[in-house]
Amino acid sequence: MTITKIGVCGAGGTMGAGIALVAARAGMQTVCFDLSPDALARQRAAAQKFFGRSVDKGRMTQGDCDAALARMQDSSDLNDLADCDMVIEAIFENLDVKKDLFAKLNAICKPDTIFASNTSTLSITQIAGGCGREDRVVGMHFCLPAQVMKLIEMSRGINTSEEVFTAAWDWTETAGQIPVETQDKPGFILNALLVPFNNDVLRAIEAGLATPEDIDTAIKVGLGYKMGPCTLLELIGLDTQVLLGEAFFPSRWTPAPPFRRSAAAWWPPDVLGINRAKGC
Amino acid sequence: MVAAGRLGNKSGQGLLTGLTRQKATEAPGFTVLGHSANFDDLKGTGGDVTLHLGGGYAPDASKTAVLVELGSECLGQHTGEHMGQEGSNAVGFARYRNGSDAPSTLIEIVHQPNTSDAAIEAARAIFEVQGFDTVLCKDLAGRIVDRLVRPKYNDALRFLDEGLATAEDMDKTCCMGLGYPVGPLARVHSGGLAQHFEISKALHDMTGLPGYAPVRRAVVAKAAQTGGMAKAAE
Repeated sequence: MTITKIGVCGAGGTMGAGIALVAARAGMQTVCFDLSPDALARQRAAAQKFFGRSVDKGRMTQGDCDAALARMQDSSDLNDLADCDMVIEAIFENLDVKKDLFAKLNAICKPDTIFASNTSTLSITQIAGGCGREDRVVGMHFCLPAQVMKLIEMSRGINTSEEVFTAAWDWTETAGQIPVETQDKPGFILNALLVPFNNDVLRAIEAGLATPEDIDTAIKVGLGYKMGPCTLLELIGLDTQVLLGEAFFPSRWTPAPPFRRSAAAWWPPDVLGINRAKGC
Repeated sequence: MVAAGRLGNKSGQGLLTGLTRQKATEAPGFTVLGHSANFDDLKGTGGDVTLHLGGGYAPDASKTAVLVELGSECLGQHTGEHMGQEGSNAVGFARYRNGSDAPSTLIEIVHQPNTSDAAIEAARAIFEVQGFDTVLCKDLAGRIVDRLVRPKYNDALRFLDEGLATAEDMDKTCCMGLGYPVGPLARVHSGGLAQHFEISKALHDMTGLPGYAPVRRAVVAKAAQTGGMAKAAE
């Protein structure tokens, strides 16, 4: 199966917009779907800026830039996704919302369209369940920012067909990404290792083990990490960390009750003045 | 350094304190007692601080500080503890190393509730003037690095058993997705699975938390080492 036309749902958000850039840059016709035309307009401007910088840095020609932008079609009408070979959803991280979207798309899209979910914590099998084409649903978790980070965690649901998984896998490589295969389990690889680690960091702070600054220094110097976990948590957002933790089953992966209180007290919206990475 | 006060905490503004610390450029004189492979080049200059290498400790109230090199044990095991009021001029320290890997430049300085500030500052200054990076932490099991990273290694080893992904893909994911220089499985194997067993077991014994319980692959490696069997798993 050859994939040449991609749909991205949630293309008005940071993650969806990045995925759309990956697809368009790789030569795919790309339908950028979002319910908010304003959000799509903002991402269109961001796309022009991103590709423009790529031209400035010599990574692509002006012709390639213009062609990539021309391949991106904005839409707030799901029907425009009807003839896509693959639709990648990067919408709100909620099982019911994602299931509802795939059920609607099943009624709209051609029979062989592949549905891919960018979920970071939810089960691909559960998202696919009841959509009407459970064998054509695959997990495709990009890293933020998708247009820069090459890694994609690929997972198959219980009913995903080998043909679909292979086609989606091949597409990621065609698009210049680097896929790794993981089982359909909460957090896949990256978040399954990172979220509990971050929760342990927060517990250590709450226990007064050390200052966040000293924890960052210890991890960077001791292990050679580029960024300390407290600084990373600042980028992820404590509110997002709570959501990620809550998506996992109760264990040490779950945010400690004191941290729920702290997250509420320590995280007034938009105080950072930096681009907070959502939906990692 | 991290940006100041973005998240704050004591002021109700967030997580990071915004507190930064300049490295010491001067240090008090010190006398070295004992020996440790982690500090082959450390030479005493004589002075008001005693530095015990290799796990020894003798209290000396006449000194500004008595520094005690720690393994996986707590400082309280040397000094004794009482009702959360313990603390003196005794300061623990440990140079972080991943199992049998070469030691890092990180020194974890360990204090008790009533450890004197002068003793802590003396410890930090001595090591920073020697070119080390110091962090300060409470006398809790695993200090900072092992306390945080050993559960992650246990998770990765368990995921490998559960077939979540190949070892190569798990490490690749962490390196590409999180910027780690080495993936967790390569790291824990490099340091030695039997070493990981020992550190995790010590942490589990002290905390009782399930995340520290040595996982199957570590248990197997330790058993193979203890029993003198071939260490194929490593």
